[in-house]
Amino acid sequence: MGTVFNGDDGIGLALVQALSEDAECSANCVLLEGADAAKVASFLLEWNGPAILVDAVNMNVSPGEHRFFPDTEASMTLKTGSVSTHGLGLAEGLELARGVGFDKTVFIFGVQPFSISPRQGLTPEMAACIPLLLGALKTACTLPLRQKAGNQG
Amino acid sequence: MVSKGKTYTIDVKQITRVEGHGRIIISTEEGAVKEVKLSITEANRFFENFVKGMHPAEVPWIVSRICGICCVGHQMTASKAVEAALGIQASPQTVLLRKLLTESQFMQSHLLHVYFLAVPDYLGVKSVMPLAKSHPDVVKRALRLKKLSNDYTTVFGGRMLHPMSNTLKGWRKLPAMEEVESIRERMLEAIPDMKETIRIAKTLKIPPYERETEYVSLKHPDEYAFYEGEVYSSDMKSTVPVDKYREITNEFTVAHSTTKWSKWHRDSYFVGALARVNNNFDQLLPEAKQAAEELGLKTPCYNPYMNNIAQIVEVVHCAYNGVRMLDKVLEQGLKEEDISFQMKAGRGVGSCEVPRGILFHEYEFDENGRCIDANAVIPTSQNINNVEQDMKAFVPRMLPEMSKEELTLHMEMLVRAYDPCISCAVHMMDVEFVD
Repeated sequence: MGTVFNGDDGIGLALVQALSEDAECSANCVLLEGADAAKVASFLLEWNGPAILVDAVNMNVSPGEHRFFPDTEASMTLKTGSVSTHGLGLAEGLELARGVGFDKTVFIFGVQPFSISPRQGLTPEMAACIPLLLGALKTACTLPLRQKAGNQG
Repeated sequence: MVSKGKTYTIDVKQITRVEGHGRIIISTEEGAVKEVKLSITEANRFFENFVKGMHPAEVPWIVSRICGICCVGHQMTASKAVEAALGIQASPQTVLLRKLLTESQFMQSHLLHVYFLAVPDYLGVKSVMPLAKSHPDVVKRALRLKKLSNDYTTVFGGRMLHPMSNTLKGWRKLPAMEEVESIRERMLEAIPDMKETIRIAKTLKIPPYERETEYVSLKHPDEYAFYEGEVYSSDMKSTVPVDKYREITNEFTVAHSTTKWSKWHRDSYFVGALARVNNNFDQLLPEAKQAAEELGLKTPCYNPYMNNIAQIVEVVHCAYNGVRMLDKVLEQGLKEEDISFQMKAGRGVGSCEVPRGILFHEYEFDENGRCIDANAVIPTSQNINNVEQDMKAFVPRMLPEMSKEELTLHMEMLVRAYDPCISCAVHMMDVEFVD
């Protein structure tokens, strides 16, 4: 998920694109470019299965670091009351889908960005992190989701 | 509730569920209204300068980035303006494809606004999120219809946002006929969802406040005008060519707003769904007229809160008209066309209806085909003045019968009813880990 026009907000797209081109990868890869909350929720409801969402996430860790976690283990800040639909993204889309009954396991592969600001493409610092991040993402895809989530969904 | 002695200040620093940043300031003293202001605090965007020096074909794609919701409308309007400047004639096939793209965007934008931004007010919740649990069927329907609209745009534009298929004079990549067939089938399958949308809208308690104003929209002799026509005023009861738009918009500045304001024959005018329905009701398809009747929308309608209802009427029109236009595409087929053109110096104006109202673009090119001047007048900058005039008219009427909280909500609902698009915002998810 993300957009290629906001610097490191495109890291999710870059990683999943790279993953889809990896001959060893058997994951079903889908690019949700510029997706708003409705698109995320619609996708999850249609997918109706476990998923790993890859996106830039502000986790207050060092830029370039990643975290891999089930959505149930994190408190996501929902921007429901203060912004327009332009401000509703992954967290709100997930909340919408959960609200209407989507009960499958969702993991988030979050990457702390160096910079989110209007520019085409990743920052050079983030681009340099891709090999490491891709390796971590491939590892994350290796285990069955059910096992990772402790048979929760 | 009695207004006597009411003294307070309402300061809504950031109006929620609108696109961009606006502020409402109301102060009362001993039951009298002292100040009512709609302040726009958004920074300038400078798109008119971005495009200077650019090739004509680049301009429509660049300016579509003005908005993530109205990207199609900006692209269509810019295409028409650039073509007018260069003396280019779009083919009938191109016009048909542009109308399909335009109406797909109307469906997407109106459905988003009605379901995600406006309906929560009427159901007494802060946002669409609580509705997912309390009214899951409503939210699922909203998601289905919005996805359909986005896919409709993707078929004709090549992608959901900022389409790249349309260019000057024609289409770079024509949609596959099986995709056209598929979207037509899905539009027909969505009719029960449309009917259910009307049923839900009938239950919304629209605030009964009216103020007559001037209603401005495109008007076309042969169709409900979205893509082409001349500018019609409900005060004039006649049309003006779009290249006279500066005499229509008469832009001016006010100290409390970073967006320009507009006025024509009165202090302010209204653009958007309600203006279009008021001005062009006879040209709505029968299904949309039926929806208007069911929803109690009788023209002329002077209640700005009914703009949300007019949006639903237009969704119905676009759905049925979409099927008609898709049938036409399937019947006549699509063919590759010559999209080459000659550079020349010139100036041109284009205008389209976009979901929030009439949009004007103007460009000038030098003999080398480089853009040397640009101007865009968007619907929200035309409407903001009218919103504030409504607030000034309604606050004294609402004050005696409402608490401060009710008045605040009704003012926010009023702004939201206009569906203003003040700007686009960047977003990123914030996460706090649970120990």
